[in-house]
Amino acid sequence: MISPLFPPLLSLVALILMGFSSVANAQESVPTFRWQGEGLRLETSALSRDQVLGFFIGRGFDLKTATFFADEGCVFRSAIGRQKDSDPARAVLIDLGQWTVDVQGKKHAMRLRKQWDVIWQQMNVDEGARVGFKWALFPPQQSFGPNDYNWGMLTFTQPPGTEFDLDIVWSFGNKTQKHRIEGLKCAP
Amino acid sequence: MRSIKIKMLVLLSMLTVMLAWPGLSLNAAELLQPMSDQVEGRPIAPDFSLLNLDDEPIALSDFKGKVVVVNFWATWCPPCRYEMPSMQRAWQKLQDKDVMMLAVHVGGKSDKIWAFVGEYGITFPVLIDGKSKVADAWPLKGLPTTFVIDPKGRIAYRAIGGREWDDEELLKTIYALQK
Repeated sequence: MISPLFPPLLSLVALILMGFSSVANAQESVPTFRWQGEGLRLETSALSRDQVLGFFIGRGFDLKTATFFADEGCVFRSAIGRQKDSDPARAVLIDLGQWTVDVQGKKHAMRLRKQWDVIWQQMNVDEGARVGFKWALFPPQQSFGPNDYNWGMLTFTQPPGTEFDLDIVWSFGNKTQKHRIEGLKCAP
Repeated sequence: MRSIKIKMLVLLSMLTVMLAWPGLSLNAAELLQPMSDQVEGRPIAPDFSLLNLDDEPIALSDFKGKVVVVNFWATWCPPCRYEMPSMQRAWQKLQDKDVMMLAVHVGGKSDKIWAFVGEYGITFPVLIDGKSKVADAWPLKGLPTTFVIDPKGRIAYRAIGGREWDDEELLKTIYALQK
């Protein structure tokens, strides 16, 4: 005898598998940008609108606010850290406040934790959600010792589908370093 | 129906963000190296008292005189999840050497943390820093970050990002603080 729960369960499993399949396909088509040099190592990749929505609803955002963020944020997940075998005597420091988004020659600063928190307070976002958001975003400043790296999200605050270049700045020892990552694209 | 869709979206997004993590991680072999730089000057670790998952208060100062490993983490943070099994393996060795390990969960709700702790078989104390007051008072900027506190209550080491905590060389660094 077939349980009355079986058809709905089957549908749910099918739906989950379809979801996995579409997410996996979407994942494959999203390029991951990798770069390393002068003490720094970086990997970053755009998150889809659904990934952003799901992740931040899971952190306590309501659908309206999460949708606002997904539409405004141009969110990339990232891992940034110290380059393997770099001279341990030379400090690696990053300050995202110095990084610049270049959209067809027009330069923009990145929106960081503090700026977003002002917006969330204006939108009366729950404190628990704001705590989750803060720690999910990449830290604005960081110093990396040997083997250190951080995970976090970068927000470039451009419309969906926008192509841009990213000028990154860091210091290695006492010397300021710069590099341009070309051809980044916000998820559609 | 809308609620179910949102729940599925959350589940799938969490899974894909988690599954995507290994592709973004740095070379796993690097995680086998000992901890990073010794924190200069060994500042005093800020004391805290937080509730564990049984709503019992646990303070850092309860362990004065012992070496304490303090890990700041969150269930939704991919490298935090990645390093947690090695922390549990390390804990099985450290507790025999009278070294304490505390995991401070930044934000979040206890039911999700309970589920994680059960799934990963974590047996060392997990404390909840719901409003991030403790994390804000400590010298950390991202998750995970782990500190090793010496018997005098000073921060001796800091590791930013995940590590293989049961690595023998890394454990020797911790044991050496007991001398």
